[in-house]
Amino acid sequence: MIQRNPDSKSDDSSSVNWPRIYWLVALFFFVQVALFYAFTRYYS
Amino acid sequence: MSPIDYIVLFGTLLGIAFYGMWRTRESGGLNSYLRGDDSIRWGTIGLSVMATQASAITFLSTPGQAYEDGMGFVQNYFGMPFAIIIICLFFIPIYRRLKVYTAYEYLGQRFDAKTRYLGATLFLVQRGLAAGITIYAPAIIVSTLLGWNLDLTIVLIGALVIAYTVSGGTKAVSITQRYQMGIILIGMVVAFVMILQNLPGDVSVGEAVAVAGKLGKLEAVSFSFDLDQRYTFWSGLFGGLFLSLSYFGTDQSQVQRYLAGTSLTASRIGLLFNAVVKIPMQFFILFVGVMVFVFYIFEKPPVIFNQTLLDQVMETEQAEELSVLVSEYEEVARNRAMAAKSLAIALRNEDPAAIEAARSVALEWEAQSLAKRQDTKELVLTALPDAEVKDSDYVFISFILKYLPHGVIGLLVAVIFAAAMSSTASELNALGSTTMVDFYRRLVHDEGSDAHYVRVSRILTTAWGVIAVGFALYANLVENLIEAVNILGSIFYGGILGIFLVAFFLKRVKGSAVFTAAIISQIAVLTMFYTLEISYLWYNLIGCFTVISLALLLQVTVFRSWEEAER
Repeated sequence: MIQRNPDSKSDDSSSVNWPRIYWLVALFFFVQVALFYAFTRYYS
Repeated sequence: MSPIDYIVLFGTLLGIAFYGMWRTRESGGLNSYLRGDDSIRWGTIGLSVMATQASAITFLSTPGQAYEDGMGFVQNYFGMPFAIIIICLFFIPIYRRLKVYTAYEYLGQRFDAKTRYLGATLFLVQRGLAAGITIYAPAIIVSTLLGWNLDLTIVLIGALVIAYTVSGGTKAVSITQRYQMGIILIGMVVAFVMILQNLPGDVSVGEAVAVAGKLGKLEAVSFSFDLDQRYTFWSGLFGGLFLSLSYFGTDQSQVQRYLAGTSLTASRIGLLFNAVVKIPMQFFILFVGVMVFVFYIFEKPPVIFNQTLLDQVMETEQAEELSVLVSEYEEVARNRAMAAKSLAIALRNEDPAAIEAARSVALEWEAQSLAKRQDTKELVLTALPDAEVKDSDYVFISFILKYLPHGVIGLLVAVIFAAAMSSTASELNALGSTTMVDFYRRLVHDEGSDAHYVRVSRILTTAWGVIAVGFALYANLVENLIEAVNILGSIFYGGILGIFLVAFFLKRVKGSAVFTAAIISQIAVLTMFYTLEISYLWYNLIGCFTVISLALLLQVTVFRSWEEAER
């Protein structure tokens, strides 16, 4: 049976506020779309 | 290309490959070979995921796409950030908790062995063919324009990728991708600056951008519900969501990249980095293409960007007709340049009536230019019936070769091959790992030592490399091969995603139901493909929904009674 490296670091994800990061990524997307749309309208 | 270009090209490609081999020269165990010892940091994961997705054709086709159709293609990536969020929320924690080497190992744990083999087989068929195309597509374009021997180009690139992928495994792939992506980004920025420098002196950058906008090349976002429109916000958001979920969540060539992270946080942040950076990067590459378009408005463009085709036609009976068409096209291009200059002056003077008038004239000449290009393509087809006249992939590279200084040409050809190598390395790495973990270790030899499995992984990765190179060498014998591989991908991708979505979200559904549903769905999709005339991209959605709904239906009907009888 193959074992993964027992020394690999344990996951430290609980200290990160993931919901906030996901919301920020989604928000960044909508800001980008708004900017692209403004860009489209400005140059049309 | 001059000697300095060759020095830059070979220095870059060989330097990165040998550095990757040197950094990973001390071979570790299987975990080190397949998962990089779980030691890859988020920044490297982010660049590695990006380099895997961005193949050479991305850097050849995308500017050409913008040259022809404008910026709208960026919308194709709109579903990607949401797909990545879903993968970070549901897929990665499970993969890491179960300590799997491949995504299909998870299917074995969640369902049964047959579903795992089905998922792994679908991946191997599809990715095995795609790996050949990843090498072939840039090799054919660059070797055509530079007069290189196509077979030798394919073999050299293939051999270099095989060497470092086999030698250092996942770690070597990630390390080399970091530098390859660095070269790619530097190269694209240099190309952009060079294009701006090549614009005519009496037109400012702002005016050049405004001219592109008035000619309809800067429409980046469209909220239209018109189904005939190729790229819209909606098709990009929903189509892109399914495609990205399938690609980033279930394709081992991507899964293997983020599973190598030091921790769950590193895997997630590495992937989220792409959710943030990918769309602006695509926007930038498309914008480079639009700037090439503007450049060619003021500078005489070739009637067809694949010059080799024109040379071949000049040796046929259609030579005279071609000469007439070329001179007519040049006349149209001159008039288009004058109209564009008038438009730039009107924009400078901020005179709305003059802008509108100059714009209509410029658009009229643009339409005539397109018509002449189309006439020439038809003439080429008359002279050479088997010729590939779609030349958008040649736009950017022929601009680079003709107008950029020596040294920069070498750098940008290195960009194209670095992109090809980075994608191929991930593909070979994943193909070797999947064959070893999901088939060899399960079916052939299940009690081997770590060293044995590393040796077998190396042999299998080499074998897949040889298959990919062999496929690339014979690729030109199959017509429309790239499209055929894309179609094949769309036919299988939906089904694989369906299996994984059932695994993650429908806990009641068991292995036999999802396996049967996947087989029926695959047969249905293949039948539809041969009988219906719909865009093949739809098969992603159809395959996915058929598997989910059929698996649910079968579980609550046929397989529930079977399970009850077994109890």
